[in-house]
Amino acid sequence: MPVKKSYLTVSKLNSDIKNLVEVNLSNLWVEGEISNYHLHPSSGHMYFTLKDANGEIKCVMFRGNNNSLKFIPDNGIQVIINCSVTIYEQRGQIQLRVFEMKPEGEGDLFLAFEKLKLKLLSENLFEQVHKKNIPKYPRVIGIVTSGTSAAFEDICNVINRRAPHVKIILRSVIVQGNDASRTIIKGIKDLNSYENIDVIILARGGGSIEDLWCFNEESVARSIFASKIPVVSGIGHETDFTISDFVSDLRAPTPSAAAELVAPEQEHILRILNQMEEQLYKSVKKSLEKNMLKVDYLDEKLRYFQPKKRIEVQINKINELQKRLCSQIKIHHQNKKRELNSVYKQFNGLSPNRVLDRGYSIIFSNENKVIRQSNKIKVGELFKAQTANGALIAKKTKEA
Amino acid sequence: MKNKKKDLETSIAYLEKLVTKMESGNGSLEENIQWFDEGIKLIEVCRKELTGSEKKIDELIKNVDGSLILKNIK
Repeated sequence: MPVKKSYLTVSKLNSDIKNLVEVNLSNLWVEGEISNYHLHPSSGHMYFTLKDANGEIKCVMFRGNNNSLKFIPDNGIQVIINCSVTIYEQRGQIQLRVFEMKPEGEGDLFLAFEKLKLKLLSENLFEQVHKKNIPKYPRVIGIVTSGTSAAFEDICNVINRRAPHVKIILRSVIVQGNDASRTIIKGIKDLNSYENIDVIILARGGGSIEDLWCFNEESVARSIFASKIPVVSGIGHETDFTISDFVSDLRAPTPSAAAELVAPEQEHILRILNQMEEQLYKSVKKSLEKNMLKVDYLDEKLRYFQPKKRIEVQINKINELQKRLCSQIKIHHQNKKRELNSVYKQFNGLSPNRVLDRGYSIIFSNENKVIRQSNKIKVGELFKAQTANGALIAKKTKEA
Repeated sequence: MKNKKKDLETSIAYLEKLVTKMESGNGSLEENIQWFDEGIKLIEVCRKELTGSEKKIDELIKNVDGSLILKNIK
């Protein structure tokens, strides 16, 4: 026995193979025929073998991938699959993990579709930044579709029901066959050169991938991208995706759905208007009330401080003062009167007339001087004796 | 309103602005009344535009001289 080497385990080998294979053999397009097809009832995963004349390989398509299939796979169908090679490690078994599957008849178109999609994707034509806003309340909707199609009828019906105020301008085009792309491009261009169109609906009813093919053409995609007016696509059925859908500003699953998305519901707008009207009334009422309260307050203040009121107060004060002054003067006057009376009485008591009343008399000389001594009058001289009620003229006859 | 041909979208956006301004309570009474008048008139214009006009479906076609004209189809 040789010295002990470190051997690979089976599981390590399988794991290494898995890593090698998965890194190098991913995102492949493989064609072949389905056989041993089995849909696992509970998990929903699909198991089948893909084969050609000289070989076969096991495939699995998990439910997450197969639920978007547009056909029902069956034994004997030629298909093209997009897949990665993987190893089921427990059994060391190679199998393909399938992401997409198309019947082979559509294979060429499908590959062309994928190629163009990648090309435009790399040019960023699908980027969100290029998406124009769809007007919320368009007035004029331009429609690029066949004027005789059911799709056009459907669109008109939806718009008329939801938004009878919106004007529709049809630019009728061919939507199938060799001339289709040329007329579609012209249609989009014409609507762009016509004024007042708010949004364009590019539509076509359902059909096979060949029928819808014009919407997967590069020139159409580029004309949508170049449109100055926002474009909403409504092409085929819900499951149909076209390049036009990716490049348009909004993708609707069907023509009617496009009309639904674009036509603003008139009732809704009227409700908004009513609401705003109510809000305007409420706000102006509030503003008025606020100002009225302010005015009331100021009015009250003003009344309180108004000059008339102040003058009244002053007048009252003056009246009061006047009253007090008058009464003071009256008191003073009475006091004085009383004083005067007493002085008068006193004075009266001292009057010479009071003495005369008691029977005395006053002697005046010729020169009208009061005589206090008898020798002041000579014998034979005239003098006057004043009594209470008159005067006497007398003569001194002798010395007493 | 200066621009009489305001479209619905611009009008509604403008109305929203008026309502917000009024609800903020910052405007003077005169401003509020002016905004209110403007708003009510604009709402009437919008209502007329929504309900007044007759439904029309036209087709854009090329005239003989190559110019684009509208032809009523419904």
